[in-house]
Amino acid sequence: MKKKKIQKILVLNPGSTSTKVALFENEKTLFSETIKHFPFELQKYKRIWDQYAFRKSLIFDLLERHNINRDSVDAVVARGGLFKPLKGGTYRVNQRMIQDVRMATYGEHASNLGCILAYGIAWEINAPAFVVDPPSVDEMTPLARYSGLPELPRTSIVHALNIHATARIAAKKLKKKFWETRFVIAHLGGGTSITAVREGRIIDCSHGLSGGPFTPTRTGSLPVVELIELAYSQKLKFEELKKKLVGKGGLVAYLGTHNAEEVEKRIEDGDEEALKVYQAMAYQIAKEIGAMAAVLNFELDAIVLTGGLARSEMLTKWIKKYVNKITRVLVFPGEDELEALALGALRVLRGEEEAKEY
Amino acid sequence: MKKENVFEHMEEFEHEEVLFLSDKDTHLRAIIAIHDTTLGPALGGVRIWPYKDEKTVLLEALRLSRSMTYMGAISGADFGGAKAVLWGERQDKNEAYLRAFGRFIHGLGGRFIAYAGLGTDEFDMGQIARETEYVLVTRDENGKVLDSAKLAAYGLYWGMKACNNCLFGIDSLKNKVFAIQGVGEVGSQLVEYLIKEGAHLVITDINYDAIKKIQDNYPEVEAVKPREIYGIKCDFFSPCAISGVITEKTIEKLKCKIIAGSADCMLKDCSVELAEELHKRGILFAPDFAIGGGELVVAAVQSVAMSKSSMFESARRIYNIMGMIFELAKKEKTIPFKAAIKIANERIEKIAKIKRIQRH
Repeated sequence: MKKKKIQKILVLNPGSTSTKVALFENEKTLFSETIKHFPFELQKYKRIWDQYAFRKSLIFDLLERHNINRDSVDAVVARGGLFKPLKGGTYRVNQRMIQDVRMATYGEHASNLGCILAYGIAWEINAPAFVVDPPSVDEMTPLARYSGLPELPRTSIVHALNIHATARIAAKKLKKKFWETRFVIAHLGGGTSITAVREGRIIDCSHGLSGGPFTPTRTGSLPVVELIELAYSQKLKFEELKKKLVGKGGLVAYLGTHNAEEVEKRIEDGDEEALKVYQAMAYQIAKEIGAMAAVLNFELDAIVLTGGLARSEMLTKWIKKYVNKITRVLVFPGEDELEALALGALRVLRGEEEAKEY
Repeated sequence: MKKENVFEHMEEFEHEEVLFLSDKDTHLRAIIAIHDTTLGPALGGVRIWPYKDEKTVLLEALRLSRSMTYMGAISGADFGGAKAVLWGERQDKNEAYLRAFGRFIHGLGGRFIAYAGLGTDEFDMGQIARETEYVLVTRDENGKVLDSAKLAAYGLYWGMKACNNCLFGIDSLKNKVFAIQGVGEVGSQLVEYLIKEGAHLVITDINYDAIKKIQDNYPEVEAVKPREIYGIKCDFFSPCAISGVITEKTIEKLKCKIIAGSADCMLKDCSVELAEELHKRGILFAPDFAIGGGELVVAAVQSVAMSKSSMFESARRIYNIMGMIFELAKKEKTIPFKAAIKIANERIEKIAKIKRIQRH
């Protein structure tokens, strides 16, 4: 058998207070570290974009600490950023993409630094730069976009990177080709996305920020007229209301904590309220899974539970109880974004997939 | 004939002196080549570059210093030509390294005067100047240090106007397309002048941060990978980084009408044949030692403290110098490169002759 060429891939995932950096040799992690950034380090930068040189120098320092010759890196891949709506896959970072994030055309976000860091580092070592399944992946069918109000079409904000990566893992487990599978994939975390994935495309989903089931920190879908009444009656400002729905909603609103482990501990200790709320969350997740199964005509290869909350046996057991009549349920707890990014770049380097142009 | 030793190389380029410098503690390794001091002390840029071997360092120093002699002569300055090449990476530079180099320069008693070149800047010159006064630092009438790259870029910008006039009969660079190779000290300043004039720019650099800095201010500026710059269809190809970028191979890729930049010796081996080949292909090649001499032109007239604006006015003289070169080339039916060398050599010869006269 022909030996696979060794490819060294530098993986970057910039967050608001840290930069995760990993180096892969093919599928193997050589090192993975999180560089923490203190507020005083970042506050001097007017825009997230301006943190480029600072974060880049820290990445180079890290490579040096690990005795990695930067010229030995074959590709740089990053998470991010906020782009125009895109199909899923691996994208070559290009000037158009850089221009969009420079101007923050689709919003400011720490992940915007991902593509510029990858591009800048790759430029200097004469290697390609990629991003994989950015948050703006939108593969919804035209039918799925109707909301009931023409001015407010439904859009896709999902954990595309983990969902696509999980779909590949599930396809492999079922010994099927990724492009021939039909899954309902539920990413369960601080934010939750329940998705219908047909032939590798997320054709419908619950909105990761403002739709679907409630999550540890978000309300998910709400009764809309009542929400308007609440906003008016309490004279809430836009930012206040937004924070109430995203950040202080869900488990936080009911139980004062977003920590699922703490909630489970309270349940074990006999907290009735915690039990009801947690069961309600499972109920809502199951209900959304059912909706997505309908999108796929109930012809499914599997229902897949993933994300940090899929580590909870209590929660996954309750969800399974509701949905296991539909089809088999697979659980792949956690998410490894860095690995998903590396594998996305590797597929292109190996010629298994063509890099898309932005 | 293949040259076997340093002396043969020196004889080929007609050099006066070549110095090999080393300081083990600071890891300083450098060559100073003094080409010709007929016009005055030899002025030379200080460049730092990780050349592959010692011979390349030597040849680079020899070629570049000869070019500096032409530059000094054609700009009307009372300077001869030299070049200092520090064999290393930019990150090798530190206080001790630069001061050690400064002490070597001081030992030459003023035969060599240094100024900022590729990979060095005014800050580095400040470090060198802590050990020797033989450093050219351009100051305004208030004693404030001026960024020499700005003067060089301004001279280049006016030289480009002269090229444009020669080829298109108009000075304005509005709507002209420029492919700029290297946006460091001089290249980035040139970008500013060209943007103000309404030109369209495509830039590249091996250092992406330099590109980002420009695009953050001017998002309309396009950037391409370093290897792609040669093939850009443009009016001006402007090498503003390393020397020797115009080769038999890169000429094949060029889609420009004019080559004008601040890079020293941009023709590989300073080859006259390559200049002739460009001419045959209808590409106007502005001799680098003439168009890149903005700072020297200022030095030539800086007998008294000048205001900042007067210095920039002086740098504009590059426009006239280029005009003179094109005129002579036209008159003698030769290429501008040869015409420029002729003008430079004639001045050196004339000044050499008057130096026989004793000053009492």
